[in-house]
Amino acid sequence: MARWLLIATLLALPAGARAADELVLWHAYRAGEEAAVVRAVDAFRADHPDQPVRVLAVPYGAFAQKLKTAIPAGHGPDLFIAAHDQLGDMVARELIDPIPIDTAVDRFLPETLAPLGRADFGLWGWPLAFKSLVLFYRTDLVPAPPATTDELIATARRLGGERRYGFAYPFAEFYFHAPWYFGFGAELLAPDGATDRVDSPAAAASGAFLRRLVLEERILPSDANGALVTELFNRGRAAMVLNGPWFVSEIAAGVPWAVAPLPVVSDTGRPARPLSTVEALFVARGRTRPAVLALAAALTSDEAARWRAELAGQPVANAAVYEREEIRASRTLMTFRAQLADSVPMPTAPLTAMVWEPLNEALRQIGRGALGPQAAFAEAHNRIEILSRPLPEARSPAPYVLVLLLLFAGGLGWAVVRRPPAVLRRLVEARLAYAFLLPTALGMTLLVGIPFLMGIGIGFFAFGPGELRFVGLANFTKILAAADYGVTHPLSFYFTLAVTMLWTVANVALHVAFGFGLALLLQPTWVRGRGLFRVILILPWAIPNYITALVFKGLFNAQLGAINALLGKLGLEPVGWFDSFWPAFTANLTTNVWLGFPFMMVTVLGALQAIPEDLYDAARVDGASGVQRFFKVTLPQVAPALLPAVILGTIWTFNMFNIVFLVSEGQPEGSTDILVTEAYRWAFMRNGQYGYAAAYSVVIFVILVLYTLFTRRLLAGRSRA
Amino acid sequence: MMATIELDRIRKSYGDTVIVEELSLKPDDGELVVLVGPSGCGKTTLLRIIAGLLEPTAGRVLIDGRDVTRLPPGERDIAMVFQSYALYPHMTVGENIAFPLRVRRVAAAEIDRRVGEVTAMLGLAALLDRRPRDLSGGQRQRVAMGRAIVRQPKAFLFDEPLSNLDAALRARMRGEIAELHRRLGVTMVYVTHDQHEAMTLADRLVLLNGGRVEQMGKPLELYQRPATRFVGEFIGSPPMNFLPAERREDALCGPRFRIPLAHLKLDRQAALPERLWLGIRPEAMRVRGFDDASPSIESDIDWIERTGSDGFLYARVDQIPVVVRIPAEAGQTLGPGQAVSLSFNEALLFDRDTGRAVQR
Repeated sequence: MARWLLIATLLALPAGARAADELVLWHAYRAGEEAAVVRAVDAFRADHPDQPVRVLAVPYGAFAQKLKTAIPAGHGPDLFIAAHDQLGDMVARELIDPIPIDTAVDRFLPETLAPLGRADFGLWGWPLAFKSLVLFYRTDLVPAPPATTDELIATARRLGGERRYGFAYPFAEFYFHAPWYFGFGAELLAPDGATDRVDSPAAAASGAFLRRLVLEERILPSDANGALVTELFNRGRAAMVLNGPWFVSEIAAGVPWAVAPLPVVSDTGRPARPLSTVEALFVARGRTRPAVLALAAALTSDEAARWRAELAGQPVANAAVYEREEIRASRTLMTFRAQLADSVPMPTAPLTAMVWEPLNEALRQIGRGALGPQAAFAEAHNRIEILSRPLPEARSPAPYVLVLLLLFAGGLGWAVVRRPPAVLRRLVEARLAYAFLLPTALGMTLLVGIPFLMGIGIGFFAFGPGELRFVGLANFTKILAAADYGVTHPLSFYFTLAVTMLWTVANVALHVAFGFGLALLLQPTWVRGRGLFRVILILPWAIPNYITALVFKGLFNAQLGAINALLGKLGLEPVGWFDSFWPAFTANLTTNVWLGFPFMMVTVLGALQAIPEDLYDAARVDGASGVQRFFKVTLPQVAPALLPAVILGTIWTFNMFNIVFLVSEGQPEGSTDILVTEAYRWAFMRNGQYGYAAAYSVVIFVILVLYTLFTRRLLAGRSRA
Repeated sequence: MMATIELDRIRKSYGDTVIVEELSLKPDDGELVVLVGPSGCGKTTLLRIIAGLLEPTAGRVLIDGRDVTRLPPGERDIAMVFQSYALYPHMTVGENIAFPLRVRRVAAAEIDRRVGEVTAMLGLAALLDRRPRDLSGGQRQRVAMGRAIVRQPKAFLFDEPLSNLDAALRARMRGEIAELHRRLGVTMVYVTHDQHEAMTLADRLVLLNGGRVEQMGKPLELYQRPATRFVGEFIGSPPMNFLPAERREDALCGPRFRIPLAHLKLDRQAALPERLWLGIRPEAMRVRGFDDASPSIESDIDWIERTGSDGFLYARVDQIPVVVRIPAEAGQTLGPGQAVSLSFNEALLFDRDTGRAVQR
């Protein structure tokens, strides 16, 4: 009895661990920023020795999700630090309390307060720091930073050259395009939430400016991501980059650099205005009490802000810090401070989460000349409309529950009618065996069974901001009817299904062809060093596939990749690998064939070695040619081992998320996405349409079940014959 | 349909390792030639050279007078039966037998007719749709022969075809192969390490040792007039007994015997070398009776073995083991440890230095 009590206590510990009056602070910081927070908390502890405080660093990737689940369940933090762009969602989910109205906030920069404002009056949190893009430049290449975009283009043009760029940033991410977008006077969302502002002349003008940078002036590298931009800057192959305060720690030692405010847009005479994000301290819902407010005051004090500026080099929200001599001497911090005045706060409306992907796509299309600026933004608007359509109507779950109950009762009845005594008797007879199986069965139920059923269940719901709505089969019918777009639209289930099937068939065919070919080459005993070759050829399999994917992504880079460099050496035109469907598909396919052939090769090698040499001799004496020996002796002998490998390989390839997601990233326009990556995008990149994504997964599951049933019959047929 | 096979100064070596020393062989048309010898003697290598599965290092293979040394196996028009049978596991009996015809693109009706004939001949008709794994060893053996026969080749090659079968089945299949040879009348080359199989099947026997032909001839010739001590030892079961002997003026003297040369009925006494082997077959030896006037060989009995039809007396002549075949009921009073006096009807003499038989 005592033992059980102990176990129960241990299990309950995480929930019960919080002492009654302990203050809990969550953050997602690391390095200097974490040190600054810890220092502020330590100062608070020194002043309040009787007040226990616990600081928890939650990994950034899990932070938002943990808040969403922990706070409503009552075991979340008292205070937490988050970026203000999640405010809309947090308010809708009722995760936070507003800060007391009487709190003194005039010591903060007014620009950092605006994004935290409540609809009526007052604030949702205390600002701590802010982030926005500024212009980083290498002082050895650029003596004076450009003040206007015309100057910027002129300077960049002068500095560009063979595999060198005057200017670089990941232009296909809207966050980096935003300065021009707002500098040209475009707007993201209308105050009432209408999305048509995206399709405006000003937006198109910003797109034309991008087209000029990429296609006309050829100043920007074309498929640059953040890591590549850092690399180029550090090596002196990019003279100016757009980047945020995090970039400071990424600049290599010895690189002479400086920052400047973004230039004025020459076409409009207005400054380029980046998006700004304010990091703020929030009080979790229902946690407002004097001790919490005291800790909040300590964390947001001018002194704490100074530590943050000094230890982490972050632009902070407290105005007083910028009066200090040593801060005034920091050109970087003062530049960020200046840029804040010319910035646009990151919108907080939940709808915003749905605009990024379509806007990114529009920028990508402009950058590779697939669409004109006006058409690209019109298409983006169109896509935003599709993604932001209202949730399906709520349905009564009653009929579904009834069907479930009937199914359950029917199944139970069937089991009873069949042969319950036999089943029960066997259960009792083999109770020891079942007892041994119990831990595994429990584990499988917990780790596989329940998530699987949950996944199916979620497919019947729709998720809105702070809302969970039962919609019955609406998600499934929407997927299968391809109602919102034509069947040939990349967003359509059928288009993606066709791509997935093509992807699977092409991959498995090439895996088998290469695997078989190499196995045949490595089979004869006279091949010298075949042991070594076997090891080498199995290596692609041994390397984690996401690493291979990233390496291939680099190889296929249009301007800096090895493959285009090789084509250039051969006198061929470089290929924009991710600009159109077939090259992008080929890039994915190449990567996955590289990863997939060793498995087939090993399978075939094993099967080949099991074929007695006598059979080949007999076939030779019988007069069979080499081709006949392969098709009539080798292939039929290898087939029984190869078929299960092909079936397994098909299922793996069908769901090969990593390669598609990392190599082509679905480009262009999501056309190379397969069903799993598409499901992922619905869940995590299109404002959390979990229900729709779960329904997608169920459809994928059903397809694979049907395939498995079909191949099982095929296998059974073979073994019978 | 008959054909001659000729091996002309065939040599096979891998680097410094010689498998077959220069070897020529020309069996008569329609003969059943058995290549026999201990393992590693090169007999299977030779067979594979005839089949075309191996290329000789030097020399020529001729079939019907045509040089086929560089021809692939399928174009030599010969069939081969393997020790492992080498049946195609994924094909039925019918498909296995039809395979050589199918790869030669023989018309379907013709295939059916010939497969029907062969399976009827071999008693396989009921098994046509079975797969090899569902057959017994003897049945598999017969399918392998069927696959060879169906092509109506110029010659058959057998590579130890019976060694995977049990004794009773082996005897029966031996009979079937002999019968097959009689019916088809085609040249066959048969490899075995079993001298009994070789003796019973061969028209002509080729005994190989270390890549060389030790002796070639009719089976009885090899049994009665072995050219070397090795032949005498290999052919016959149990093998011939060998006692070391010295020639003295008028007698052969050994550890425990003295045999007057007159008793040996030799042709030319003068040609005898000094040091000899006295070779006596177990069946030519006997326990010497009291009234027996023949020269004696004194020995000590180790044990006596009775097989029912025969008895074998194992003894030692001054540490040298000898076997004596005795009638089944004989020797009831004899037992291990006893001394016994042996005698013989006929003996062969071998030069102890060269191992070669002394001419009689």
